[in-house]
Amino acid sequence: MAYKDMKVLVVDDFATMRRIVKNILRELDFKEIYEAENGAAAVKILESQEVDLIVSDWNMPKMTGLELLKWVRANDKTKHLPFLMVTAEAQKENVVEAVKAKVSNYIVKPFTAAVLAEKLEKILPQD
Amino acid sequence: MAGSENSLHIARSLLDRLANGVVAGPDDLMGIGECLNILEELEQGDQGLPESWHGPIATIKGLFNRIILEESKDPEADWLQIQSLLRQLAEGGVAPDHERGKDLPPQGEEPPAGESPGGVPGPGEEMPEEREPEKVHLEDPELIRDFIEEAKEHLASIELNMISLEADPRDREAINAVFRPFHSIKGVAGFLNLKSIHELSHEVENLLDEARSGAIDVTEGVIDIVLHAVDILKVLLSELEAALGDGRAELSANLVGAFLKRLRSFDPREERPREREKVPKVGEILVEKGVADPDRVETAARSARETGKKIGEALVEQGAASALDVAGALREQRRIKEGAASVRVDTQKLDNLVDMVGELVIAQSMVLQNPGVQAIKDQKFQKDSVQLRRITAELQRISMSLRMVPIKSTFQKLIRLVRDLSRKSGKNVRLEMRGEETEIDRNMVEEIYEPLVHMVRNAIDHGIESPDERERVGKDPQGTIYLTADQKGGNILIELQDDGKGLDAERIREKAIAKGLISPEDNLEERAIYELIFHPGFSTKDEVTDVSGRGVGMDVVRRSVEELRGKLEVSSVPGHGTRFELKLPLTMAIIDGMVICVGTERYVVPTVALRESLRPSKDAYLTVQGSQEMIKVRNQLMPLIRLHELFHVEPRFRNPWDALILVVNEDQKSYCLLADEIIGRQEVVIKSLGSALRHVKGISGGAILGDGKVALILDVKGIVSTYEEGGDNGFDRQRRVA
Repeated sequence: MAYKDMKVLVVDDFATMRRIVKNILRELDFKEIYEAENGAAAVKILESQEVDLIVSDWNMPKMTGLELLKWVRANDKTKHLPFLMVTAEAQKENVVEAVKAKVSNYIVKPFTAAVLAEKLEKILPQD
Repeated sequence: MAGSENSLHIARSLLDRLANGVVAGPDDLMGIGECLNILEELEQGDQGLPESWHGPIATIKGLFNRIILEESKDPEADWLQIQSLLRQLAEGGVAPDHERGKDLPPQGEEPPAGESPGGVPGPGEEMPEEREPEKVHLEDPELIRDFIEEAKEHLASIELNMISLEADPRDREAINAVFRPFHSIKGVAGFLNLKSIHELSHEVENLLDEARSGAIDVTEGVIDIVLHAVDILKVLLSELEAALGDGRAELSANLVGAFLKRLRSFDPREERPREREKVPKVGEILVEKGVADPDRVETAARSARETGKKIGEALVEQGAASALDVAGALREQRRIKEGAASVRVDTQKLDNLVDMVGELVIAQSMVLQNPGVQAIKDQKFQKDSVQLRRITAELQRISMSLRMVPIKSTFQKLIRLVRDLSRKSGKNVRLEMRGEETEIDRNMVEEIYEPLVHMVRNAIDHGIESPDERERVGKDPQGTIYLTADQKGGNILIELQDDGKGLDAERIREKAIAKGLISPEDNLEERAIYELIFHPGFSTKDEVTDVSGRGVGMDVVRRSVEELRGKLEVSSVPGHGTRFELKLPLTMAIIDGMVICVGTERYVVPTVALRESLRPSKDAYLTVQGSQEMIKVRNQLMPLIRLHELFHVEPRFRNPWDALILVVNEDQKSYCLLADEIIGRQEVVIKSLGSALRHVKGISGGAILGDGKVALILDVKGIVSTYEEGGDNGFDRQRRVA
């Protein structure tokens, strides 16, 4: 599936960060982008919407990225969704946690469109 | 030694996964995650894992981690290494020297030492003493503006959480809530390439991370540092904001430099209660820099104390440091002082300051209006007095602004309320806000919260319909409450509007009749009917609901608004919603007033209460039933209130057509106040009256006018109620026209 036909869910509690991630996704030609301000809000969207990719921050109030990931993997409807975790350099050690919880991949802030594309290539089903 | 059947089986199946492409390779993190889980299960569970397996498994896990963290020089080689280790295990052969905890296979060269990630100098490195301002190119001003807004908002929440931390240093939620804004700000700053902000928030994040993990306690010192960082961030953000239009900004990186220096010398583990010394002494700076010897500084300090000299002089005299070094240390000290970009001040002190500035303004006009001074024709004096006036005016403006805070925090609390209430009431309501940046006197900000809460409750409970009902009449099932704030002239306007069903005039009328507030014969206009909701007898407890019923009526809301010298009005369009308009003075300390004169006395009428002033014609003066005096203004009859009688002064004019009337509104009714003349419009600083005069009706305070004389500030509500009650103040409504 081409990027432009994919629905992406961006999860971050900081609106500016969501905008930055959205800008980068748009650079890669993504058109349909949903937003959620924490894991709980993301769950709501996932319950009612079909999405093809989740890009989530780690550190959020109410429901963290890791908790969201666990929820996604525990639900039949969502468990195969590509899940890209956005982390900070300082949190890299936690990444192993996320890997054990079956994160598809992770990306360290700040990143460029090129780096994101590289990651997406690894996690999106190839046709 | 060979492994047990079970562990051999697991090792084989893992190997299969890796070899057969079930786990695709080093890029397949999900597959690696699966493998790690299996390995951990193998280690932890009672799987009969042979002792000799622990070492190789630890190595495999280490290799996986290296691949995950992208620290592997050659992932493919590590991958093969994992496979080969697994194969050895599966075949029952373990290298005898492979012990538990053995280091990972070495890879190429070590990363160059001393280069820490993110360009943050490690503890061993010396910070540049003086930092050049950071030059920033603003590529996307709009994004940066949003970032500034959002960052400021989050920073504001930190202070509150710091208070809970002060009470309970182990409050994990609070630590997290403080950690998160720094983390987010750092993240965005990284993308926007704002190095100073990134570095500062990175360091604070690290400190808080240690607190989060429980490695350090949140001591007073930690709190100080975090708040200091918040202050610096605010400075940097406002520098950024100020430069938004220019496309490039210069940020005070030296603040960050000084801060990091402080942070580095701070050891939270060794911290014990001590004096708060934010600004280091000159001697300390010199010792820290390695310029001076601690003992010699101590000697110099002692001699400075004895001789009353400054420490710098003593140091130079005794040869402990050169004059150049001392000057440098002083500069540094000043810089650190400036680094503390904001201070928290007791509001009482602030109020005193505002008061004294008010006095200063008055004292100044008394001096300048003194006839003797006015007679001075000296040109230089004229020029200087203009300058003096300019400065005091500016000083007054600044001192007033110290007490102003954005109304945002109050509005934001209402978002939560709307969310909770709409859930409780089964209605779908959202709150839309505008003008949250409008600033308002901080004393007032707390006072208006309750009235707003009540109006929001009312809107949700009585105004907005259920989703079904809304759909039936063709409205969006989601109702909206619009909350806006705006500054107009000397007032703050707050509007709360809903798109619900509007006020039901007929029902209000029926209820008012039932309560005996009006009689069935009363023929009221729609506006007057709406006004009834503010009547003290209107709201009752028999209709308490989960949402709005607290036994508090709109009358209480109006009264609290009036106590703030504000006005509250309602309008409504049936089927389309209700609007409340709240008009508040900018500040509680000053009012915009009209100075009027009755006889020799002067009074100040708050302009917020004043509708117009005019001199009526003789024909406009009427008496009703032979006694009550009325003035007809544009076909509307209004009661005439004679101020000279209320205050027992001898007026210059007794006939309204000779004098002047001021039309004031109270409770949606208009009244005419009779005065001799209007002197002018003026902002006056309100002084409270002593206890002796506090209970005099019709007066809300005193003000000192420019010439030093005192004027009383009229309380229109009190005047009207005295008038309506008749007797109390000795009002005699006999005709008194000559």
